[in-house]
Amino acid sequence: MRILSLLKNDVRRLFKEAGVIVSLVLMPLVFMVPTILNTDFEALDLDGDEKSEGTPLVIADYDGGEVALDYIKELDTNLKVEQNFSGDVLVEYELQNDPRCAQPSPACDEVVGRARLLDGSLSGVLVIPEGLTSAFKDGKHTTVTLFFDPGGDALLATQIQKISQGLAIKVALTKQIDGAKSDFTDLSSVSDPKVQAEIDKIMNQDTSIDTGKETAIHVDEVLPVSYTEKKKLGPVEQGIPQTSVLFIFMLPMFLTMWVREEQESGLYRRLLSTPAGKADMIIDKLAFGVLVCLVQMAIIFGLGILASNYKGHPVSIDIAGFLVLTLALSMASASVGLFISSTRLPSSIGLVPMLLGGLLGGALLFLDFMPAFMMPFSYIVPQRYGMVGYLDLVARGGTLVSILPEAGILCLFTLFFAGIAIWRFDLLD
Amino acid sequence: MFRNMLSIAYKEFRLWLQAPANWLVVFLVPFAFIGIFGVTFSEGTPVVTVYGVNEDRGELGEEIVTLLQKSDNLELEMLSTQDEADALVTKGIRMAAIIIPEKFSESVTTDDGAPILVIIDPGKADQAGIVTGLVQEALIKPIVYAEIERAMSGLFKGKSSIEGVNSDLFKTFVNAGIKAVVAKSVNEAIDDPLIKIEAKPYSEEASQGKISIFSQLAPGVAMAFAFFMVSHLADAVIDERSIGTLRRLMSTPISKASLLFGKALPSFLLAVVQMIFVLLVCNQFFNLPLGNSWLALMTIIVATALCVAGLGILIAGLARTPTQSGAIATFIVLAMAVVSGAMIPALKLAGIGYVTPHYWALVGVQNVIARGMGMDGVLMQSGILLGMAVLFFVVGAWRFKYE
Repeated sequence: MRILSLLKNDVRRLFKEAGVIVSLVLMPLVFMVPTILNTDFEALDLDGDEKSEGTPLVIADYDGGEVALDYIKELDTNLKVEQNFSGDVLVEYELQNDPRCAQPSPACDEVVGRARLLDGSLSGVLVIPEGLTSAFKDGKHTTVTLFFDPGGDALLATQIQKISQGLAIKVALTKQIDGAKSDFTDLSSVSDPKVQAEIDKIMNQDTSIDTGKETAIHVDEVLPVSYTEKKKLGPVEQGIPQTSVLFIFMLPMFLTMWVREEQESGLYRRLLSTPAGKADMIIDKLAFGVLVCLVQMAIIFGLGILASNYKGHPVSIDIAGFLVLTLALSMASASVGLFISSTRLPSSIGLVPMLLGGLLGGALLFLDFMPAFMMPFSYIVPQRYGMVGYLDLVARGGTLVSILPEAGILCLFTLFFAGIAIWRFDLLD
Repeated sequence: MFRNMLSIAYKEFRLWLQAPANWLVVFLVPFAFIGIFGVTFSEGTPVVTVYGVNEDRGELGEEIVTLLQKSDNLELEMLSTQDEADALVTKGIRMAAIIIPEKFSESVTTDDGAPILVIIDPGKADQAGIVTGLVQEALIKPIVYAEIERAMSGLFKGKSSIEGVNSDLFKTFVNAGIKAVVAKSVNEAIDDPLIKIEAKPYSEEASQGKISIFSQLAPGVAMAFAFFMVSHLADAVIDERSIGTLRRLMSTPISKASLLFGKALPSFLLAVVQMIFVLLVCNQFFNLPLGNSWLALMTIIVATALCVAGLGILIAGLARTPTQSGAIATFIVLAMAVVSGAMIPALKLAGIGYVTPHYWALVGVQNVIARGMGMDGVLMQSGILLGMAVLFFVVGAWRFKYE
């Protein structure tokens, strides 16, 4: 009963602190909204007719020959190739009076591409030099230049570079293998005419690859056998666990500030003169933290699921599993806050668990990208278990049973931090 | 006034130095961030650790595993069965597993070909796609050879029409001949392709000569953490007010302006030192170029730090309690770091980003360190940052309640 009245008092106080509500509740939305706005939902629709337009690439083709055209055709299947600019685009970049853009030309494409690199609307301009086709036929090397913005999106530029090089090899291979076949036929001219005729017959057979057939070695992406949902997930579903786990650990900073303020104002001293004891006050703060986190998570998940459903990409989640995991994660977060409050560290240190824990636990950086020697560090932060559990629920069709180990570990974190907090807490300090 | 301001700043600075935790937040946390990003991204595409399973008994399976192990970007953790890999990926321990199925070597020449399966974690599907690309990149030679091998097997239908020549022998001879010539071409096409892609920055002055994910992330981290000083400054001012020392200070001949400038000065200096520290760490440990103009770099750093100080005073002017100031500062700083793309480039909101100081600070720093620009690359950005700093400071000072 005493705890309940303390809790009621804390909630009342929270409603008076608009800034705290804004931070705790609206802050996660700042992460969610860009994710939702930046998501191409149509590209995620595996059965729909609409396809993603792909990463744009401006090509300035100074060659115009057969090999260059083959290469551009290949690029067009993987990227959104843009060429032959005119009209509005030229006006947008104030190039309508540029002599290079008097009519569509590679020089104009290059200048528009460079302008778009500069304004950040493009990640690469591919310049195919004159003489590529003839050099290729003569077996000479040609360098195609991919211009990028060194201050721009490096991930997209890397993607374009890899695709461009891979397709250049593909085009070169097709042509070079044809050349090799003809070299072999030429070599056979030294043999007996009968043998030569037989080799000619063999070499003139159609060996072109049947495009309807699988390649001899093909790399297929498959989902785990136990995964029953069988759908491609988008950044929103993948973003919900990240945002949730990151922001649930904002609480320690606020809880520390709050406790400090109450200590300084003498509130605890006054409360201790009532029947409320130290344990009541600590449990109250833990309960208050859990309550705030539950509201935070309900908003993040609610918004994420609503946005996904609205865009025709429904997300379902096991409610019991969600509640148990959120409760465990909330308790872990609140206990970290209590632990920091029990020390003499400044409240700004409360951001450290959020930022470093988020980084090591996979909420800010994918654990799989981390070097192997850093991976073990992820096991010592609660964020890791939150991420695994939420991804299980949102993405892998997990249930209450599947997230129980993570919830259990999070409870151990709570016991550890809350235990130290209870032992060390000096409310009168 | 100047002397008063300096003495307040000196006292503030000493107080700051006395709290070791401040050092942790201002220097160690950004250092840890940069360290983790650096070891992950400074060599280009990150190394991805995935499971590998070879259930094939043939030579080709072995060859594929060896090639995957040699890949610069893949680290294979070998398991014995596909079920085991499936279970671990399902649990999210690793984002993908590469499976070479049973009878892989035998299936290569069949019409259906031989599949290499990449089991991906549906929870990380977006990122796991990189594994498929890396596998294809590492296996380009066996993939091409296998295709040629299969195409050639279709060349010899029926018996040779040359009298007195053993059909099988003739087939072996022609096969070997074609393979030798084609293999040379394949090796050349892959190792030394006739068309080479050279990635170049669009401007001659650029100091960042190659595409680098780390170079994109590091300045954002430097800028984002500099703005965390906002919270320190706002806290310091509000604390002083709530414990009543501000009231006592106001009874001395110190002017309000000296007081606020004196409070803001240490945060400004610390923000400058912090940004230089982070960029130097990136430069010394992870080869981040620092551009061609120290003057330009210092200009944008100083302008950013002024903006940090101005924003701190603004928040101190808006908040009534330390909790409020912490909440508002965290919200403003984190939200601006996100929408400007300083913290996570993929989440940038182009239009809204323009109203954040982070955006202009980031563009200015990128202009110098990546695009190799000089003062021309930072003048406009510094001007906007200074304008914001003045606006923040004036509004903050106007709204500030000294009692």
